[in-house]
Amino acid sequence: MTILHLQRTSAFDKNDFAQCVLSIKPDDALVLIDDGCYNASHSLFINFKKQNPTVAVFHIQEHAQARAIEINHDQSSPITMAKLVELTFQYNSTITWQ
Amino acid sequence: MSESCKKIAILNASSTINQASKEALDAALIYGSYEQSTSLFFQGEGVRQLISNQQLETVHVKDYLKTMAALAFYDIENIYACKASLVERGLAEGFHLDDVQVLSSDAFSDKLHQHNVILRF
Repeated sequence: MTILHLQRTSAFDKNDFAQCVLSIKPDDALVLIDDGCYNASHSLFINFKKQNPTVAVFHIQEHAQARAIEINHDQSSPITMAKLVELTFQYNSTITWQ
Repeated sequence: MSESCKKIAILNASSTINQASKEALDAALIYGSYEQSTSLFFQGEGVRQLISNQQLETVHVKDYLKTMAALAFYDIENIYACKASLVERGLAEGFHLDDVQVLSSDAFSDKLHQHNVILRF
């Protein structure tokens, strides 16, 4: 079964993201939402991307923009909330890390 | 697997004296009382809930940990703990619950992936 991981908190603040990256499998996907967008510049994320190049990673464009966060589109694809809803139908289940 | 046969994972990530931890146990017991296949997962700060000899009354908190002894009556027998979280916190495996399966991060994630509904507290 595949899982869509919704990461809502920042690894600079809490350790939810550290647990999230331990739980992700190659066929899963990760979505950075709200303060989770800050993770794009955290070493946990950078190392995760190196070790898991095939895992799909997305971020909510508005949430990054609202926080003046520049996220490299090679690292994470910008999506809208509508697209996020669509994504939830493409995976067997979701976990919200917060 | 038939549509009605959902496997529920209650993922505990909060420390003992925390409202979320009590709510996680309540959710597990409710699912159990409706005979839903329910498993308990303890990760991160959640592993602290498993430690023996905690005395919640000393800080005037209702000792909900005692209720965990009733899990078997609700057919909740699959209980998993994350070894990395225990090691990271220097916690030994002296739990107040029997039959806790301590798993590596990979095995823990594999088990999680076998569940349809995953609720994190």
